[in-house]
Amino acid sequence: MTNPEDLAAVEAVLNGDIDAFESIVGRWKRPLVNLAYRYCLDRSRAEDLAQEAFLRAFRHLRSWRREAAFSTWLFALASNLYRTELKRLPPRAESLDRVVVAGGPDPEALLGGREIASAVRAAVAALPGIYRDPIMHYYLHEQDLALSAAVLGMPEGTFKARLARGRALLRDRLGRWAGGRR
Amino acid sequence: MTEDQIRRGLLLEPVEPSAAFQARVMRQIRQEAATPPPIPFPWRRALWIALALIAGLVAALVQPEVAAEGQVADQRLWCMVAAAGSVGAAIVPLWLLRLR
Repeated sequence: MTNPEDLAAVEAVLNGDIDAFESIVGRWKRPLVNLAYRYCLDRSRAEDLAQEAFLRAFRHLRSWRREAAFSTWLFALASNLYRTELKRLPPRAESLDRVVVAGGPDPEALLGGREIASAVRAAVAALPGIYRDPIMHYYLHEQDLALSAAVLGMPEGTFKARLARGRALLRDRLGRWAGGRR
Repeated sequence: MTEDQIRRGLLLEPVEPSAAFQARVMRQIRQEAATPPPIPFPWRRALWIALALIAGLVAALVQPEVAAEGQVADQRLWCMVAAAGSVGAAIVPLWLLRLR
Protein backbone atom coordinates (compact mmCIF):
# COMPACT_ATOMS: atom_id res chain seq x y z
CA MET A 1 0.00 0.00 0.00
CA THR A 2 1.45 3.33 -1.06
CA ASN A 3 1.77 6.08 1.51
CA PRO A 4 -0.76 8.81 0.52
CA GLU A 5 1.97 11.44 0.90
CA ASP A 6 4.14 9.60 -1.61
CA LEU A 7 1.23 9.27 -4.00
CA ALA A 8 0.42 12.98 -3.75
CA ALA A 9 4.06 13.93 -4.23
CA VAL A 10 4.41 11.69 -7.29
CA GLU A 11 1.24 13.15 -8.83
CA ALA A 12 2.51 16.68 -8.18
CA VAL A 13 5.91 15.93 -9.73
CA LEU A 14 4.29 14.36 -12.78
CA ASN A 15 2.17 17.50 -13.11
CA GLY A 16 5.29 19.63 -13.23
CA ASP A 17 5.85 20.56 -9.59
CA ILE A 18 9.51 19.57 -9.29
CA ASP A 19 9.77 20.81 -5.70
CA ALA A 20 7.29 18.14 -4.62
CA PHE A 21 10.06 15.61 -5.15
CA GLU A 22 11.77 17.05 -2.08
CA SER A 23 9.26 15.36 0.23
CA ILE A 24 10.07 12.00 -1.43
CA VAL A 25 13.79 12.61 -0.90
CA GLY A 26 13.14 13.64 2.71
CA ARG A 27 11.12 10.53 3.47
CA TRP A 28 13.35 7.98 1.72
CA LYS A 29 16.88 9.37 1.97
CA ARG A 30 17.72 7.48 5.15
CA PRO A 31 16.59 4.02 3.95
CA LEU A 32 18.22 4.48 0.55
CA VAL A 33 21.52 5.68 1.99
CA ASN A 34 21.47 2.83 4.51
CA LEU A 35 20.79 0.26 1.81
CA ALA A 36 23.64 1.67 -0.27
CA TYR A 37 25.92 1.61 2.76
CA ARG A 38 25.18 -2.08 3.31
CA TYR A 39 26.31 -2.76 -0.24
CA CYS A 40 29.47 -0.67 -0.31
CA LEU A 41 30.38 -0.08 3.39
CA ASP A 42 31.53 3.41 2.49
CA ARG A 43 29.52 6.36 3.79
CA SER A 44 30.55 8.82 1.10
CA ARG A 45 29.97 6.39 -1.74
CA ALA A 46 26.63 5.37 -0.20
CA GLU A 47 25.44 8.97 -0.50
CA ASP A 48 26.61 9.16 -4.11
CA LEU A 49 24.78 5.93 -4.92
CA ALA A 50 21.61 7.09 -3.16
CA GLN A 51 21.76 10.40 -5.00
CA GLU A 52 21.97 8.56 -8.31
CA ALA A 53 19.04 6.38 -7.24
CA PHE A 54 16.89 9.45 -6.56
CA LEU A 55 17.87 10.93 -9.88
CA ARG A 56 16.94 7.73 -11.66
CA ALA A 57 13.65 7.57 -9.77
CA PHE A 58 12.88 11.11 -10.88
CA ARG A 59 13.65 10.28 -14.51
CA HIS A 60 11.53 7.14 -14.50
CA LEU A 61 8.72 8.25 -12.22
CA ARG A 62 6.17 7.59 -14.97
CA SER A 63 7.17 3.95 -15.10
CA TRP A 64 5.90 3.33 -11.56
CA ARG A 65 2.80 1.15 -11.94
CA ARG A 66 0.42 1.87 -9.12
CA GLU A 67 -0.31 -1.79 -8.33
CA ALA A 68 3.01 -1.99 -6.44
CA ALA A 69 3.74 0.26 -3.46
CA PHE A 70 5.91 3.26 -4.28
CA SER A 71 8.46 2.14 -1.69
CA THR A 72 8.75 -1.32 -3.32
CA TRP A 73 9.34 0.28 -6.70
CA LEU A 74 11.87 2.73 -5.27
CA PHE A 75 13.83 0.05 -3.41
CA ALA A 76 13.83 -2.24 -6.43
CA LEU A 77 15.15 0.57 -8.62
CA ALA A 78 17.82 1.48 -6.05
CA SER A 79 18.89 -2.15 -5.53
CA ASN A 80 19.31 -2.69 -9.26
CA LEU A 81 21.38 0.46 -9.51
CA TYR A 82 23.57 -0.44 -6.51
CA ARG A 83 24.21 -3.94 -7.80
CA THR A 84 25.16 -2.64 -11.25
CA GLU A 85 27.42 0.04 -9.82
CA LEU A 86 29.14 -2.41 -7.48
CA LYS A 87 29.80 -4.80 -10.33
CA ARG A 88 31.35 -1.92 -12.27
CA LEU A 89 33.39 -0.71 -9.31
CA PRO A 90 33.52 -3.31 -6.51
CA PRO A 91 33.89 -2.11 -2.94
CA ARG A 92 37.21 -2.49 -1.20
CA ALA A 93 37.22 -6.00 0.25
CA GLU A 94 37.59 -5.94 4.02
CA SER A 95 38.70 -9.05 5.84
CA LEU A 96 36.98 -9.86 9.10
CA ASP A 97 40.28 -9.72 10.93
CA ARG A 98 40.94 -6.21 9.70
CA VAL A 99 37.47 -5.00 10.56
CA VAL A 100 37.92 -5.85 14.22
CA VAL A 101 41.17 -4.25 15.20
CA ALA A 102 40.30 -3.28 18.73
CA GLY A 103 39.35 -5.42 21.72
CA GLY A 104 41.01 -7.49 24.37
CA PRO A 105 41.98 -11.12 24.31
CA ASP A 106 38.48 -12.15 25.32
CA PRO A 107 36.49 -13.02 22.15
CA GLU A 108 33.22 -12.17 23.85
CA ALA A 109 34.50 -8.64 24.30
CA LEU A 110 35.30 -8.53 20.62
CA LEU A 111 31.85 -9.76 19.72
CA GLY A 112 30.01 -6.83 21.15
CA GLY A 113 28.71 -3.44 20.06
CA ARG A 114 30.32 -1.72 17.12
CA GLU A 115 32.82 -4.48 16.44
CA ILE A 116 30.22 -7.14 15.89
CA ALA A 117 28.21 -4.81 13.65
CA SER A 118 31.28 -4.16 11.51
CA ALA A 119 32.16 -7.83 11.37
CA VAL A 120 28.64 -8.87 10.42
CA ARG A 121 28.38 -6.19 7.73
CA ALA A 122 31.74 -7.12 6.25
CA ALA A 123 30.72 -10.79 6.24
CA VAL A 124 27.38 -10.00 4.59
CA ALA A 125 29.02 -7.80 1.95
CA ALA A 126 31.42 -10.63 1.13
CA LEU A 127 28.62 -13.17 0.54
CA PRO A 128 27.69 -14.15 -3.04
CA GLY A 129 25.07 -11.71 -4.38
CA ILE A 130 22.20 -14.21 -4.42
CA TYR A 131 22.53 -14.68 -0.65
CA ARG A 132 23.76 -11.18 0.21
CA ASP A 133 20.76 -9.32 -1.25
CA PRO A 134 18.02 -11.25 0.62
CA ILE A 135 19.84 -10.80 3.94
CA MET A 136 20.42 -7.08 3.38
CA HIS A 137 16.82 -6.38 2.42
CA TYR A 138 15.29 -8.62 5.04
CA TYR A 139 16.99 -6.77 7.90
CA LEU A 140 16.69 -3.35 6.30
CA HIS A 141 12.92 -3.81 5.92
CA GLU A 142 12.56 -4.87 9.54
CA GLN A 143 12.29 -8.55 8.67
CA ASP A 144 9.28 -8.10 6.40
CA LEU A 145 9.60 -11.16 4.20
CA ALA A 146 6.88 -10.29 1.68
CA LEU A 147 8.19 -6.77 1.12
CA SER A 148 11.81 -7.90 0.82
CA ALA A 149 10.89 -10.60 -1.71
CA ALA A 150 8.81 -8.10 -3.70
CA VAL A 151 11.66 -5.59 -3.80
CA LEU A 152 14.01 -8.24 -5.14
CA GLY A 153 11.34 -9.48 -7.55
CA MET A 154 11.45 -13.10 -6.43
CA PRO A 155 8.85 -15.55 -5.08
CA GLU A 156 8.67 -15.76 -1.30
CA GLY A 157 9.70 -19.43 -1.36
CA THR A 158 12.89 -18.66 -3.26
CA PHE A 159 13.55 -15.72 -1.00
CA LYS A 160 13.15 -17.85 2.14
CA ALA A 161 15.48 -20.53 0.79
CA ARG A 162 18.18 -18.00 -0.10
CA LEU A 163 17.79 -16.24 3.21
CA ALA A 164 18.25 -19.52 5.10
CA ARG A 165 21.28 -20.46 3.02
CA GLY A 166 22.76 -16.98 3.43
CA ARG A 167 22.32 -17.09 7.20
CA ALA A 168 23.94 -20.51 7.35
CA LEU A 169 26.92 -19.23 5.36
CA LEU A 170 27.12 -16.17 7.57
CA ARG A 171 26.99 -18.18 10.80
CA ASP A 172 29.64 -20.50 9.44
CA ARG A 173 32.02 -17.72 8.40
CA LEU A 174 31.53 -15.62 11.53
CA GLY A 175 31.73 -18.71 13.72
CA ARG A 176 35.03 -19.74 12.16
CA TRP A 177 36.34 -16.20 12.49
CA ALA A 178 35.26 -15.95 16.14
CA GLY A 179 36.74 -19.40 16.81
CA GLY A 180 40.02 -18.33 15.25
CA ARG A 181 40.18 -15.36 17.60
CA ARG A 182 39.97 -17.50 20.72
CA MET B 1 27.23 -16.87 16.01
CA THR B 2 23.55 -16.73 16.87
CA GLU B 3 20.68 -15.36 14.82
CA ASP B 4 20.21 -12.64 17.41
CA GLN B 5 23.83 -11.52 17.16
CA ILE B 6 23.55 -11.36 13.37
CA ARG B 7 20.29 -9.44 13.61
CA ARG B 8 21.77 -6.96 16.07
CA GLY B 9 24.82 -6.62 13.88
CA LEU B 10 22.69 -5.70 10.89
CA LEU B 11 20.34 -3.41 12.77
CA LEU B 12 22.96 -1.47 14.71
CA GLU B 13 24.30 1.93 13.71
CA PRO B 14 21.99 3.17 10.98
CA VAL B 15 23.83 5.61 8.74
CA GLU B 16 22.52 9.18 8.82
CA PRO B 17 22.79 11.03 5.51
CA SER B 18 24.83 14.22 5.75
CA ALA B 19 23.01 17.51 6.31
CA ALA B 20 23.73 18.67 2.76
CA PHE B 21 22.52 15.45 1.13
CA GLN B 22 18.93 16.46 0.47
CA ALA B 23 19.90 19.86 -0.92
CA ARG B 24 22.50 18.22 -3.17
CA VAL B 25 19.94 15.75 -4.53
CA MET B 26 17.37 18.48 -5.17
CA ARG B 27 19.96 20.61 -6.95
CA GLN B 28 20.66 17.68 -9.27
CA ILE B 29 16.93 17.08 -9.78
CA ARG B 30 16.29 20.72 -10.70
CA GLN B 31 19.25 20.67 -13.06
CA GLU B 32 17.88 17.51 -14.65
CA ALA B 33 14.41 19.04 -14.99
CA ALA B 34 15.84 22.16 -16.64
CA THR B 35 17.70 20.14 -19.27
CA PRO B 36 15.70 19.86 -22.51
CA PRO B 37 14.70 16.30 -23.40
CA PRO B 38 16.93 14.55 -25.93
CA ILE B 39 15.90 14.62 -29.59
CA PRO B 40 14.21 11.29 -30.36
CA PHE B 41 15.95 9.17 -32.93
CA PRO B 42 14.07 9.29 -36.26
CA TRP B 43 13.57 5.56 -36.69
CA ARG B 44 11.15 5.89 -39.62
CA ARG B 45 13.55 7.92 -41.73
CA ALA B 46 16.45 5.73 -40.69
CA LEU B 47 14.52 2.67 -41.87
CA TRP B 48 14.02 4.15 -45.36
CA ILE B 49 17.67 5.08 -45.55
CA ALA B 50 18.72 1.60 -44.47
CA LEU B 51 16.47 0.06 -47.15
CA ALA B 52 17.94 2.37 -49.79
CA LEU B 53 21.48 1.47 -48.73
CA ILE B 54 20.68 -2.25 -48.83
CA ALA B 55 19.15 -1.85 -52.30
CA GLY B 56 22.27 0.01 -53.44
CA LEU B 57 24.50 -2.71 -52.06
CA VAL B 58 22.49 -5.44 -53.79
CA ALA B 59 22.67 -3.51 -57.07
CA ALA B 60 26.44 -3.15 -56.72
CA LEU B 61 26.84 -6.87 -56.10
CA VAL B 62 24.57 -7.89 -58.97
CA GLN B 63 26.18 -5.58 -61.55
CA PRO B 64 29.42 -7.61 -62.16
CA GLU B 65 27.37 -10.80 -62.67
CA VAL B 66 25.30 -9.08 -65.32
CA ALA B 67 28.48 -7.95 -67.03
CA ALA B 68 29.93 -11.44 -66.84
CA GLU B 69 26.92 -12.81 -68.67
CA GLY B 70 27.92 -10.79 -71.70
CA GLN B 71 25.41 -8.04 -71.36
CA VAL B 72 26.61 -4.53 -71.83
CA ALA B 73 27.25 -2.86 -68.51
CA ASP B 74 27.17 0.83 -68.67
CA GLN B 75 30.09 1.78 -66.47
CA ARG B 76 29.21 5.45 -66.59
CA LEU B 77 25.74 4.71 -65.23
CA TRP B 78 27.19 2.79 -62.30
CA CYS B 79 29.66 5.60 -61.62
CA MET B 80 26.77 8.03 -61.47
CA VAL B 81 24.84 5.72 -59.15
CA ALA B 82 27.88 5.43 -56.88
CA ALA B 83 28.37 9.21 -56.88
CA ALA B 84 24.70 9.79 -56.08
CA GLY B 85 24.94 7.22 -53.29
CA SER B 86 27.94 9.01 -51.81
CA VAL B 87 26.20 12.37 -51.88
CA GLY B 88 23.12 10.77 -50.35
CA ALA B 89 25.16 9.22 -47.56
CA ALA B 90 26.77 12.59 -46.85
CA ILE B 91 23.46 14.40 -46.44
CA VAL B 92 21.82 11.67 -44.31
CA PRO B 93 23.11 13.07 -40.98
CA LEU B 94 21.89 16.57 -41.91
CA TRP B 95 18.52 15.20 -42.90
CA LEU B 96 18.18 13.28 -39.63
CA LEU B 97 19.06 16.35 -37.59
CA ARG B 98 16.43 18.48 -39.30
CA LEU B 99 13.69 16.27 -37.87
CA ARG B 100 11.68 17.95 -35.13
